Amino acid sequence: MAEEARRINAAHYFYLLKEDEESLGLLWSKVASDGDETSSQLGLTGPLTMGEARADRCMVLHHTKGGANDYCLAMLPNLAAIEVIDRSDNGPSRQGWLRFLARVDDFRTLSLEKGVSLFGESTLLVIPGGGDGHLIEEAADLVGSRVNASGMTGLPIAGEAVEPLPDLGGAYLASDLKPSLAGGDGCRLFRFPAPEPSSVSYWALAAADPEAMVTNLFPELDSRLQELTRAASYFRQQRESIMGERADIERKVGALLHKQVQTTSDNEPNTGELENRISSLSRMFGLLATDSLMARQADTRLGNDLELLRQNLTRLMDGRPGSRDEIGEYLLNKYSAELDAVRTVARDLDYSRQNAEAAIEVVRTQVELLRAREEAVIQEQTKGLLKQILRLQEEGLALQVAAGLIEFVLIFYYVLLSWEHIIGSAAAEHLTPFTRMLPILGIATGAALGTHFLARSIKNKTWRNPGLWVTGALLLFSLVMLIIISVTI
Amino acid sequence: MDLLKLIEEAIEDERNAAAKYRKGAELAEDPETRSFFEQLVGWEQGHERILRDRLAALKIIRGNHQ
Repeated sequence: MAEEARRINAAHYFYLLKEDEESLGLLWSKVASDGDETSSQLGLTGPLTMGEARADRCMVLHHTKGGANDYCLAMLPNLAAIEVIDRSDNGPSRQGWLRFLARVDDFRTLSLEKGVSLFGESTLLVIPGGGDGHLIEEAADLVGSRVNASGMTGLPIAGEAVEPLPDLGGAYLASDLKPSLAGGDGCRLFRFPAPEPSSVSYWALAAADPEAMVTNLFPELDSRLQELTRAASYFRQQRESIMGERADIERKVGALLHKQVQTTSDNEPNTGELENRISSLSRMFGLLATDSLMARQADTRLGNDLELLRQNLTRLMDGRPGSRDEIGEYLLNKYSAELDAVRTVARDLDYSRQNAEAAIEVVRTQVELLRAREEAVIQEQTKGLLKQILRLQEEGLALQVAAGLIEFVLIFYYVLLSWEHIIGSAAAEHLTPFTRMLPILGIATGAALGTHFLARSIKNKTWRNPGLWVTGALLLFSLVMLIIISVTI
Repeated sequence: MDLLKLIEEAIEDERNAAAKYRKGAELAEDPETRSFFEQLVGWEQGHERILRDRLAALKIIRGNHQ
């Protein structure tokens, strides 16, 4: 029971991904082996993680004590945390903090040697409620000295580069906490600049009753911040890469639009080259569309994270008029600026996409104009060809008529001559001119027209030609008439 | 293919490469060669850290976020 009364001097939080059960198990077994007394809300058997029991808040699953330290395995909304809490009878002091931090360094070194992947770390130095000015300065000085400590190198890289805190007249930011959370008025949270290249963030807490803050409330806020920091860093890198890509695409689009189109041998623009340009522009458009999607996802994600951080801050900070909240202002401004940057990128990408789309339209119009011109030329050529064919057809028809006429005259003349020769001139003279001419006229007409219809039937490969049959009948009738006249003279 | 798995494999590759170069540094007889291998070890560790960092970010971003 005496240990219960021992004051918290400091706490350190190792954050790990919940799903990284191996790392979590390794680090917890390392930490738990230091403890001599174990208790837990859940049994100690079974898997350490609790994927199915996703707590909205910080939930301590396992708790063990060893010497001056308490060790907790806690589950947070998206991360798991191993809390190392330092207690003493004498209260906080620089020496006490240094001893504790050396112990934490040992855990870190051992865990890294075992290949444990840490997501992030935070140290929280605790000072008595009311904010002991001297101890705050001691804490700031200690954190400052760790920034330059050579032992800090080689740790997992930070989710973000070092972020110098704004100059507010001190080496830290401070925010008043709700009195109900940490033992009355005057409780306050401090945030120190992050040392580079460590992923450890440093905080201090001035509280009369720091238990709830240290065990649950602080890790809830801090883990959100760890996640947001990591996501923002990831999206920042993505943004830089996207902006580089965008600048490259803009340059290429501009170059494509201003590049002279190669001409063909007859000095016409090359359609193939223009089509290649459309293809290149479409590829660029595709890249921009993907980038745009990524920017929108980043927007959604950061927006959600920022809202969750705001909720966390509201839950902890005093919020009464006149209260101080430099941490909240700083964090919300910082990540709002990140969010704005993401939205600016998304907007810029939309402009670029529109530009690429417009460029595609320009080139496509060029191609269409070119094709229309080519089609007009072809149509003109076709028209000329059709005229020529028509003229040839007309000429052919005239020749056909002339040939038909000549055929008729020749047949008429020779049939008449042959017939008169056969029946004799004297007999022919007894006939009236009408009787003499009529059968010959029928034969000449039938032969001349019959030749034409026969040619057409042969061409169409059909005998179903009424003209042919009528002329055939006329020819036959005229021959019969000729024979009858010849016999009856 | 699972991209996270791919990154995990890449981390393993970086670690193996660093181990190989570390061995090279141990075997090197002249300071220049040793220094070269040590530089390579540093590069590989740097790659590993970047990959780990990105993997953690991707896991958190892709995970069921509350």
